[in-house]
Amino acid sequence: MKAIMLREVQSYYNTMIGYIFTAICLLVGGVLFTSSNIQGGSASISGVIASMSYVLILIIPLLTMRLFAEEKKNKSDQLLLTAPVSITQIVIGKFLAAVTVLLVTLVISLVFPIILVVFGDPYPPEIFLGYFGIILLGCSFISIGLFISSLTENQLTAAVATMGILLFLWMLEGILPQISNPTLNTIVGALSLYRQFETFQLGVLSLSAVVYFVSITFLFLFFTVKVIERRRWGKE
Amino acid sequence: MIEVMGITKKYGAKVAVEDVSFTAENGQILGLLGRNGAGKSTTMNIVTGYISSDAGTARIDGHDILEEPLEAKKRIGYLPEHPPLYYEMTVREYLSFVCQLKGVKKEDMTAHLDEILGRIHIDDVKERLIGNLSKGYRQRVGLAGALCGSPDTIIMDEPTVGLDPMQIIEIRNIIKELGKQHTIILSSHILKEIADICTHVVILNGGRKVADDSMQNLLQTSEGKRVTVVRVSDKQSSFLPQLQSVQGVESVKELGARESGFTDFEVTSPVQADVRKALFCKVAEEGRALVMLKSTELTLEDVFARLTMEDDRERAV
Repeated sequence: MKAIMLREVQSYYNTMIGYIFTAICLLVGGVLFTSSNIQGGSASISGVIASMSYVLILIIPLLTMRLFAEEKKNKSDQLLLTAPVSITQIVIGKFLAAVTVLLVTLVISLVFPIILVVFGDPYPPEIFLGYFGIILLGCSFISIGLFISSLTENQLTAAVATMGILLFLWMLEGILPQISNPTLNTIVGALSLYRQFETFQLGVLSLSAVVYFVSITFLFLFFTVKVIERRRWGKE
Repeated sequence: MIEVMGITKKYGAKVAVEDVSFTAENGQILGLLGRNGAGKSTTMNIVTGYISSDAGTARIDGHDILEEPLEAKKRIGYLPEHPPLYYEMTVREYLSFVCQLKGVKKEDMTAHLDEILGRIHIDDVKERLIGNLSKGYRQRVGLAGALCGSPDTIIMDEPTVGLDPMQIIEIRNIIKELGKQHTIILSSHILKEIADICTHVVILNGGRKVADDSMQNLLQTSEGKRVTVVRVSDKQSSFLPQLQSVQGVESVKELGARESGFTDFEVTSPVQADVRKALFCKVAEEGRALVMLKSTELTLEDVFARLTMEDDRERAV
């Protein structure tokens, strides 16, 4: 599992995707930080966190699209599936590699809150929980992207489909007030990732939100394992 | 040792492999022979655990690939038809990744890698990106990957396909060398290759096994006839009756004159009886000259063609 994770991380930085991911994330965060925190004189990090959460919708698919689609296309999955490692280990190794790239980006972005602490008077829980929330959100996005990558051989298909699903989940929050049927409203509300994420942005630790994101992550990792197992029995 | 026990694989209505069983003993190089689509790759993919079978299983050194997949997979090195390479890695990075997957200990890694690089003769490209290597080198890197972790058994799917003649010879020599220490299964549709390298042959046709024997037996017993061509100097009378009287000869056919003053005869005898000595004595006894004696053995091509065609005919009925 460690070997698979390290190989994927190395591959992210050999193929530039890792750098591009970090650059886009920091660019968007940095622009917002400059305009709202430095020029606007605010000590609240929430704007930066929110902007990064939106940009993740667009760039997490870049990170996850190749994880399984490329292996299948190059037939390098034959190496992994005939090696003495379980499918769960393969899936988790790949998942952790994408999470590592996300974490590296977030660690670099800590420069924003550090500036706030030095020059301003921020509310600490807002920073901690904001970052905690974005890690949880990112993990669920990666898990969903990984699952979609396991369904196709084409990286572009995987990326576009993942982006579409993440965008849809984000839009749910906007659709919600339009839905009058209470049952449907509850169901759609439960699917809305951003409703859960908002609690972190406000600096509130909500156990239900933590459980929510962790469950989404595990659920899609589990689906991914099942898809790959299923393919071994496949009727290609 | 690899035991394949009654594996069957269906893709929808199409049967890819049907009830195939065979055993590769330790130190054996087993050739899996068949036309395109005969089920060679499918069989190999099942034995290595890449895909599952619908029925039957395979055991590697006593470990069932379905029940103890990790233990079984540790003992196999697999070179699929398309070597499973990562083009953005260097040869050395790739091989050390494969070693880690196979559970080679960190402290043994360097020595193990150096040994493999030397053995497959890819020492000179170890720092290059796999994506920049030629097809022959990629194939060799794939083979090197199959050796990582020193598995007892190595399974290779058409290891020489797409290589130039020099590379083919080189890979064959490497395989023969490996065969001294490992159990090897390799597939090919190049008969000469199988005849050259393998000690044991399994022939598949349309997903079914039609032959499973040692190379020697397969060549000898299949037809049961030995054909000897002799070229004898002419005299007034024909030599045919005299040849027919030689002990052990079943039939003689006159082939005519291929060279002026000499006549060729085709002598057929049972495979157990070696009639060459008797033929020579007979010719000398008659005061004729023997200028050529050629014993034509059945080739693997003949055997293969006959067995697969028989099977096709059976199915058609």
